[in-house]
Amino acid sequence: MRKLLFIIPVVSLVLLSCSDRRTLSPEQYIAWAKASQKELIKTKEINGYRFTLKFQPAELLILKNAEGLTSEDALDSMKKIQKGIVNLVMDIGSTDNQQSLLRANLAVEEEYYQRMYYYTTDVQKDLYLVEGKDTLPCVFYHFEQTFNITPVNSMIMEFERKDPNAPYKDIYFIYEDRILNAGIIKFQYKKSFLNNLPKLKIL
Amino acid sequence: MTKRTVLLFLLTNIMVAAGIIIYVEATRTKTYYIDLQKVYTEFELKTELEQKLEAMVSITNEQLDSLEMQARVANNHLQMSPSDQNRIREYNRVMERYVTRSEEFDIQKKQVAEEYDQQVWGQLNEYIREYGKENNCDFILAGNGDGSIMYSTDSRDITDKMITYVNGKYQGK
Repeated sequence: MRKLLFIIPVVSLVLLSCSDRRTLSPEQYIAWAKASQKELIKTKEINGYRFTLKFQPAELLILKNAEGLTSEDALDSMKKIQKGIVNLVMDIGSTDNQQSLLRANLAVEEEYYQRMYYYTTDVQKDLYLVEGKDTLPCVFYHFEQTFNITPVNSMIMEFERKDPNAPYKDIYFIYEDRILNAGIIKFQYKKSFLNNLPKLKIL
Repeated sequence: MTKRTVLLFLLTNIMVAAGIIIYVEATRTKTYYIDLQKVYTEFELKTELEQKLEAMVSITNEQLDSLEMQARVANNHLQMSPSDQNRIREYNRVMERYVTRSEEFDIQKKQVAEEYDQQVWGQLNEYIREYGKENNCDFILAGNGDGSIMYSTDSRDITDKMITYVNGKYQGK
């Protein structure tokens, strides 16, 4: 009986601390994102190019884009806009960090313009997500042209889930490259990670 | 010999033995081999690109079949009146188109197959290199029954491990 009296409060405390960890303040959320880079950011190097895919939880995106977010209502309305949206950013550059995607390993200058055209207007149909049996097209795409100031170019993408309320299944991001001769590029995000993303709370 | 001397002697021996083991382990060359043909054949990117190529070939074959049908019809018309200049011209035009498209498709198929092969090897080489780095391998030799590896013990064969690894890497796990 004495043991039980000791065990119950300890177990309760552990459970409470675990559940508290899932609801984080803005500062804690940013710290969590920094600590979870291994799960959020995936990298592949193929054919002299580095592909870096960043998963951006909606709440992290809200925090980044809404400075001075002070009320729970404002947070909720922003969460509603982001509901069911999977935000991904893919950086592509050369593996030696010297040149951006548009400039790296060019055989002739004409290739620069071909790449520019492809990545600004044509690439969207080669990008998709697979979640379970659902294939999700890229519903929003923006290419960041950096004019070789930085050694990478970024592709900002949004994918809309079929059922925003359903728990996540394993998600595969697929890019069927047609320009860099890299082939089909895949990245996976596990459901165990996606279903346990912390919640943001304005305290 | 006192008890203390014996203990000291034993301790020294143990330390020397441990030193030798550590040295041998540290300087031992970690050499493994894979059946490269098997790894290549079972690489999932290869299978997926083969399916893409088959789909492309199937579409182009349908287009060629259609042109072939047109050529047969033109030939039948020509058989009915072999001296009709219009029918001769029509037959030649259709045949020329069929032959040209057929050659174009052959070249395109070859180019795409080569491109896909480069893509498969590009990723495969990268993932094998990563495996070597992660597992501190000094060498990973590729044997495929062509005499490049004449003998090795089975314990050095990491083919199955490599197949699992490269497919996991390809799937982005």
